[in-house]
Amino acid sequence: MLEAKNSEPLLEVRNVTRRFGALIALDNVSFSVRKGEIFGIAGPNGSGKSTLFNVITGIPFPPSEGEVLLAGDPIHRMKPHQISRAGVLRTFQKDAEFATLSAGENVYASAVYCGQMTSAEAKHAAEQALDDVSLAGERRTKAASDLSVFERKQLMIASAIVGRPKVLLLDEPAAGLTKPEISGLSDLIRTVNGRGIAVVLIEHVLPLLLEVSEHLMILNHGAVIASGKPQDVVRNREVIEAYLGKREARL
Amino acid sequence: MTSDILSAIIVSGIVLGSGYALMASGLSLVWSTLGIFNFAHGVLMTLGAYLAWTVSDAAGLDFGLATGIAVSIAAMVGVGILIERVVVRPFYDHRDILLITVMTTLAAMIVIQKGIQLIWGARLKQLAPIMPGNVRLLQTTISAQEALIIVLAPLVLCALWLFLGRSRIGRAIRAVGQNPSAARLIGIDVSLIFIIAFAVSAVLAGLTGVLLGSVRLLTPEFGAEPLVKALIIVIFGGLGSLSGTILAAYIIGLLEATLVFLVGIYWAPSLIFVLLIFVLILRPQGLLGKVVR
Repeated sequence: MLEAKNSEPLLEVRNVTRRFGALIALDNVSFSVRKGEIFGIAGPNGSGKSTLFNVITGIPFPPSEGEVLLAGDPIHRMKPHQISRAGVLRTFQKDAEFATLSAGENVYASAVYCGQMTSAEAKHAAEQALDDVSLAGERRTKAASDLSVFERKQLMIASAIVGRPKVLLLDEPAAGLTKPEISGLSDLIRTVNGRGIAVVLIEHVLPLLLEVSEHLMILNHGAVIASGKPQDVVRNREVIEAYLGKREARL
Repeated sequence: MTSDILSAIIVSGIVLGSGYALMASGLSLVWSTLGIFNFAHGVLMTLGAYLAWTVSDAAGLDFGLATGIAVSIAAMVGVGILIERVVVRPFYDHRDILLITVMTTLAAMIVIQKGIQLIWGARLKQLAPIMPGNVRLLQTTISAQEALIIVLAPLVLCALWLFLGRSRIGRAIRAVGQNPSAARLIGIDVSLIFIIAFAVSAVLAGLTGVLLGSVRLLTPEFGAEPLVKALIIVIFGGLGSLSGTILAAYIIGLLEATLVFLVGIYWAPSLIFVLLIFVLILRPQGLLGKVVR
């Protein structure tokens, strides 16, 4: 009980299953993320990673079975906007900003609706969040659709952190980025984490995952096949098989 | 063309355009928020007019016109919510929501229209005008009710404009229309917004019915032709653009008035369609619509 004090789980996923007809996209998945932790999730395409984020946030659907708890309170029966306001925010693989609004307005909207702030508070918080992700100068007044891929990622993260989340779920943020940009993203994730926000990171770019994650979980066919310290997990035989196939794994 | 004919065309075009603008803006609101066409929109206009008639007319409950209009507008809020709940909501997560709701809202239209026929019968009815008498405008005499429509439509549309642009809920409606996932993410209750959009849209349809119900005669098919015009206007104005819809409504109103004068009431609607097809060939995104990337 004593050691539980320090590692009390913030986000807990318990026996979550998601079915689409006969297809089981998530099969009895359980894990927990501690406060302030960076939790990495990897797995081959179609292994259920994004579906996991979908059922945690309820956007666009809740789990078929199982529970999701935030600081001990169940959130899996809440509506998506209630989950957002409770403190679990996510980014998407596809663009999820308001394309015609400027970067500043996007973050401001998030502060007003998600952070429940007054106009003046929201303006201040938006400036702060954009500072945090280093999206500066004229890029703040540009329409979101005119920003570069990396700038849009910065914007997505700024929009998410302005709502003061407890947990931020990042869905393949490194997709489409160049090597220097990935390094910038790694700094950005650490900055967000440094604000006391727990980060759950889905990523195909393994070096990034290994660099920032304190814990790594591997999904395959909707089930957890390995979970633990990143360096141990990547040596796990089952993980290598899932990525490369059995024959290569033997070599 | 003498000046009094020209002014008659302009005045009747503006009267038509005002009614179309009220009607089409409701349809446009639902389209831009949910991405569906509500084919029951026209019959909501009919229902609004019949409800106001029942409450206000001496042959009905005889509570006076103001009460009739108030009851009708309040009822339309409920009807809008009911339609959203029953024929649209069950299909939100469906891939083919656009096609399915063509079917379900058409079904709602037929059910309500036949219901109206069953309850009120096929006998023609007419609402009392809010403003009786005649008014002279640009050398043309029109009924005071038509003048009221000319004045009221821009005011209502301005209010809608301010609601969408300035209020918290209005801005949330626009956010949902632009990107529902992002709207959920920033903490907007998207399903509540859908309900509000439907309720506002139904009120606009009911209001159009109440205003036109004293200028035209009420039949169960009262809203059918305005629905078709509103559909054309929303597409012509550019899908998802409220300002485009309003601009298109007045253009179509003036065009219709001109064509009625030039070729008669029989061919005018067909010619409007032909002209619109040409315009859409040249500008497929409509007047103020944006080209989708």
